[in-house]
Amino acid sequence: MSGTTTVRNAVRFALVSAGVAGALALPGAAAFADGTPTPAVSAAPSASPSLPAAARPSVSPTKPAGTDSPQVRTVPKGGAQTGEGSTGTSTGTLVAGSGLAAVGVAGIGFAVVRRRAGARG
Amino acid sequence: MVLGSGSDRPPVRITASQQLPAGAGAAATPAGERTGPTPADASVSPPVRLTIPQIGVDAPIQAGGLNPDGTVEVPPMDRPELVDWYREGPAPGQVGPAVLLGHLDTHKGPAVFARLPKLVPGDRIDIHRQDGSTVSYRVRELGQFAKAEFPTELVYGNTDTPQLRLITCGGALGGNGHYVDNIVVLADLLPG
Repeated sequence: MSGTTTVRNAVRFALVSAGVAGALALPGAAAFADGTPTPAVSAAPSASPSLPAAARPSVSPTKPAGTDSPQVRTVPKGGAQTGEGSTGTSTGTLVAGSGLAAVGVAGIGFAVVRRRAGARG
Repeated sequence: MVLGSGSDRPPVRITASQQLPAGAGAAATPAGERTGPTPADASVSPPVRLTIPQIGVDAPIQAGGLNPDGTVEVPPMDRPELVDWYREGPAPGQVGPAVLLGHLDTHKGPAVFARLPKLVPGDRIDIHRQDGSTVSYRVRELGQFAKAEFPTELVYGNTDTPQLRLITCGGALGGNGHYVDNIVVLADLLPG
């Protein structure tokens, strides 16, 4: 009989111990099972930036796309023929005028020489 | 076209060829930092009339392009009152160099830009657009350049702001009956 009692006591002790252990473990188990979200440990950066403002990348690009295109699509060659010379002085006119002036001076000189020769003679 | 008599203003001192500082007219932007709309921006109304009160210009504007040899088109010689807008570039009011061309003279006599060399810095230029709006520019400087050494970048290069170039002939007449130089007026957009 004493053997049976010993066994019963051992079983009771085991049950009580299991009950106490279960009671102590219950809050922890509930933490996994109650559906309440817990703060997650994440590798994502914090919402508040740790970099100084100047070190943060700019949100807007500094150079809008497509701005390298020339504003003038096709650049003309050379200058523009925007005159026909009715009011300007042509090089031909300058040459002709100079020639006439030279002939005039020569004529005057010839006349002076003749007059002097006539006065002497 | 009205070639007004105007007042007898002192002759303009035109900057000699090659003496304008590099990029002076263009406020040139380094490559890769260009801004502004593309030339064919349909949102900008084309120019239809040019008025320059100081030299009595009031002239219609038509669009022009390129000749088959790649040179810029100019108004027909039998229409000396016309001004051409180079349509391969920005329209007046857009960012970039808007280019207008007019004759100094034809065989018939003085043309629309006969008095262009008399402009001085500060003079006002108004351009009326097809939608009824007007954009105004102020003359910054004038330059005279040999056609053989035409300052292409200065005239047609990208700019940071809306600018205007008026082009006509100048200098002496060459053997081919054409002037050897071009006179270029550089102007900046006035705040609207």
